[in-house]
Amino acid sequence: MILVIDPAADFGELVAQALQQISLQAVVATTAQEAILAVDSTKPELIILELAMAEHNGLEFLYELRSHADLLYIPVIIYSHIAAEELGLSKSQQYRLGIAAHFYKPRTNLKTLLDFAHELTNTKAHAAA
Amino acid sequence: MSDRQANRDAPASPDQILRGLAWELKGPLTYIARLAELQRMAAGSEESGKSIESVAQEALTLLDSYLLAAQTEYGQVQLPLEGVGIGAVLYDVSQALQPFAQVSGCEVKLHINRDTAVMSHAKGLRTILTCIAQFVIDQAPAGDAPHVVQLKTYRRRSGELGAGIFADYLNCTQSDIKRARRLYGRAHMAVSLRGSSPGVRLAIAENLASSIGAELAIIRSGGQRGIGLNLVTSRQLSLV
Repeated sequence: MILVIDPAADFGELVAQALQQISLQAVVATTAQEAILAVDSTKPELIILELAMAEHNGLEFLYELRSHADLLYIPVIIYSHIAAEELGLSKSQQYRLGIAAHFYKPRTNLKTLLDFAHELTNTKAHAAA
Repeated sequence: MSDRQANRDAPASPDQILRGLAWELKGPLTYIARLAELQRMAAGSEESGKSIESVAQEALTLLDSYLLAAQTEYGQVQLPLEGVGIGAVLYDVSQALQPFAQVSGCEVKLHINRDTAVMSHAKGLRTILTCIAQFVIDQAPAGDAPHVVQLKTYRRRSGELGAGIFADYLNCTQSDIKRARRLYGRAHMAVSLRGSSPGVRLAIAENLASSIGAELAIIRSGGQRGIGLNLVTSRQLSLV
């Protein structure tokens, strides 16, 4: 299961539908609070995250997520309207937060996102086997 | 009244409103572009929805270019000075523009010389050259497709390096670049930009070029007219 976190529900659903095209099941959360509940209930193998959220932003969510020992190793793909250079995280910060990739939404098509998500979930499946 | 309260109550300037509007528009445009892509994937057809995706993508590029130019002008973004290969930048621009060029009946070709290293601002250069290329593609006359649009590096007589976008049909003069500069000034006075889309692209490129110490100019090369970005070559990097 993949958790898609995006405040724009339509866009989150669109990403979820795209993931279904490559046989990956997804659920959508539109707020950080919803996302935390969804993580607890679904134990996703991957999270796709928009950083620009109202109230608690995506980065706050990530810090919250990594504060739970059992949720430390869920990989996160940032797919956001905020570009990596705007966010300004160092490589080591990205690593500590478990950010596998940061894609700037306006310039990254679905195919690129799906290819990466597919590769990550495959790698995890192989590792588990 | 606290400073924060005062800031909240202060009326937004036309420029702030434009920047806010540009930021807000990115959401729906990204949705349109990705929805068109999803429909293409679902239909299993390469052509389905391609023009919608391409037009939305170009609009996103235009908004990003505007935001970068505005943020650079107001000191909200500092573009790092770094060693840049102009050839690599032109290659990136050509790849990003392929879909837009195709739906506009243009074929993009690259001509890159050796020794194209400069000390400059990679993101700024990429944005300026993308704006110019979009402008040139937008000027392509309907029919008689495909029109060839050439992305070239060139040397000025002074030895300085430049990069430009050339096309047989391009009929642009130095005064068009000056007019584009005035257009950017008018935008700050809340004059509508409606109906002047190609000029806006040139205006953004011109504004960003002046922010990074480069200049736009009309260039002739191989019998073609083009819009060039003149740069200062780094002698140290030329030796690398």
